[in-house]
Amino acid sequence: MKHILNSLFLVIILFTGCYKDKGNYDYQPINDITATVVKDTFHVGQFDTLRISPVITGRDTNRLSFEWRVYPVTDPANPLDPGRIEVISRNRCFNQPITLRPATNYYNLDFVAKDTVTGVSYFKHLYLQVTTAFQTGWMLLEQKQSNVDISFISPDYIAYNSVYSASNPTMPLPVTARQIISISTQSLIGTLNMVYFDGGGYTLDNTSLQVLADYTKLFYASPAKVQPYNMIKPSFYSYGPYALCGGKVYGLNGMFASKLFGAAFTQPDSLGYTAAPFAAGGSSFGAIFFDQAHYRFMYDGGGTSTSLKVFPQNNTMAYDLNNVPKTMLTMKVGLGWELLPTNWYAVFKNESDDSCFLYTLNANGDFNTFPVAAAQQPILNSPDVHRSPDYLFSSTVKQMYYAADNRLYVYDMAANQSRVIYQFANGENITALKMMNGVITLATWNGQPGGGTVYYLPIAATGDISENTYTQRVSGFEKIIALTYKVG
Amino acid sequence: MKKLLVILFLTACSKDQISESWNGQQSVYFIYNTNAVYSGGIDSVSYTFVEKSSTVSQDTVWLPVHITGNQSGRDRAIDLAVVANKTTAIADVHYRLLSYNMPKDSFTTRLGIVLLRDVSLRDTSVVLTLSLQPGKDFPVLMKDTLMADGAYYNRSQARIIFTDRLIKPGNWDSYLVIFFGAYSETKLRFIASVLGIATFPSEGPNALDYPTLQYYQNAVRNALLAYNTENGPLIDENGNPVVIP
Repeated sequence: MKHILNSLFLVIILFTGCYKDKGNYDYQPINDITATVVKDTFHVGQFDTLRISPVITGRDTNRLSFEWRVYPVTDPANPLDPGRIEVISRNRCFNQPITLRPATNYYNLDFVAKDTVTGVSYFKHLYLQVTTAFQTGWMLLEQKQSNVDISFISPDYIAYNSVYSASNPTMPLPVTARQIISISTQSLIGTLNMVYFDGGGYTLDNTSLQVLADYTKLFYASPAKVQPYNMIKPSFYSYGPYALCGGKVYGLNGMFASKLFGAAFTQPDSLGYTAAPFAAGGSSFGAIFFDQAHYRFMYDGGGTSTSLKVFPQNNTMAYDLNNVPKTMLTMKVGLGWELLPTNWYAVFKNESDDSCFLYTLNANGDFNTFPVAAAQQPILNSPDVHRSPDYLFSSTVKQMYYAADNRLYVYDMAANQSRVIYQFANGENITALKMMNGVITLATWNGQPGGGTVYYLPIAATGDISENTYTQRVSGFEKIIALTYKVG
Repeated sequence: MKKLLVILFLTACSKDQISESWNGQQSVYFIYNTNAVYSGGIDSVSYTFVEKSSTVSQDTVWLPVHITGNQSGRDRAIDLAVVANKTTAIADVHYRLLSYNMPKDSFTTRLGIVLLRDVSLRDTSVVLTLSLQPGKDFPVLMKDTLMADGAYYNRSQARIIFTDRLIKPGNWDSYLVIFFGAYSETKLRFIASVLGIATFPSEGPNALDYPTLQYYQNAVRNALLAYNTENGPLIDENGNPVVIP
């Protein structure tokens, strides 16, 4: 019996060996999918509808599923958020409003076609930029009858009134609001937009002007005295930007990837210091400040220092950097190569009268051949120069612009005299002015509701207003007390 | 057999009466910090006075406790005792116990242990082992439970290890010297009193980046200036003025 069973088992095994393999070994072309789109970069305004119709080719395009993936989608409150991938559509053709947060950078937009049979995904990589009207243009700080607001003028001269209050209905600006700043910090925190008021400030979203955070959140620890006045990165040789707050200097070490401002820079000596809200900088002295309490210039100790230093005593230069017993009205960059200007100008006023003085600093200089204290002169023949809401300096000629009442003046440093280069109607007084790319943008107010106007005045090579007229005029504002150009 | 089947079927149809409330045995137990598994054990709390201002003479460590059983409409006493054979701290020199109770209508509370900054803590660390005792309001102790570190605990004991002793950070000479200059114990104690920390890791998950250390340097330098102005130069144990570069 056992013998029969073994024989039977052997026969079964032998027959099994003759089994014909009925597998399919024909080579079939794979379902290779190709998507073609008219262009690979798209620009769209936030909430506008984006339409993309990719042309899809392949053996079988009916068995595909689709995804439109966008990344990085980041948390606006966290500048270091690496972002996530978000699927914003599963349709073959994209046709819907874009609600993504506007940004300067481009989003990656991947069109993904997945073969539902093989599971293979095919990618078409695209770029998407989402913009808003408030990304680039002039921010205007308006003083109204009962409040303060921020309005906006786009590069095509369209006015958007009361943008701040519309974006922040429950967070009105204090009536003490005095300054708006937009600065590229050249650090991980990117562009900062801020509004300062008595005792504090807010950082604003770059596209909506919504309040992001309290000013003090920019610091490791809140400054002892929260009284912000300015933020500036005077040169790429400095480790700034510097925040000038409550008479102290604070630095953000952008080069070492810091995202917060540190403690107040240590005083240069036992006298202490009260910094005027301005800074100059260059290759020799990354940042120069003025100690208003002791009428002396100071400089950032260099490298990654967080201490201020006073200049050594030197009587061979145009003036004594440690003895300028006047009130600093401004200190700004002037004549010279944009990246490394040799002329920074400081305007001072006597404390006992209205006489003003122009001091020139060369932050690329030294104490001998190219003195850092380069020149100084009283400002003569310049009516009401002490009353200007701001001072502007040409980068190509030795000229300064200032305003008083309804007149715009140019001060010729070499001739040491000023002349009126534009005059508005009586009662329409200049309240704020800035210069950018050879154009003076200034605000006037005639004292009437809605009587605020912004003018664009191009500068000719002579320093006069080109063709003696403005190129653009945008009206219908209240009293504009500060303006700044922001780049989204 | 048929009768038995009928009985079984009928039993299956009876309605299960579930109590609407549960009234377990009343006990109280410590809530351990499972994150402390690598720093003295999950039943332990480490504390140092080093990072406190020099004006701080005592501080309170809070030990969270939880109860089993129901809340009560009245405050209930919690009996806490020192485990003498596991304690090196001395009562009224290194610590003081308070009276403790579970507030009414509560499941949890914190037991405050007052730690005293005795000068002896500058040279040593001491251990205070505390034990929850069965009492009138909480008559039973918890049974052993397997915890995160793989050991069994009945969660009636907790240890507090505390000190005021400074330990020179291992990365001082290789890295911190850039920000704080040459080491001295006086300097580190001053730094700790200003910043509230006495260690500055430069590696690992909690490593401090350069700007943060720069901020610390700046903050300590400013505080030292203020101290020197008010009190005269701060002199270290070697007789040298303390300087922050």
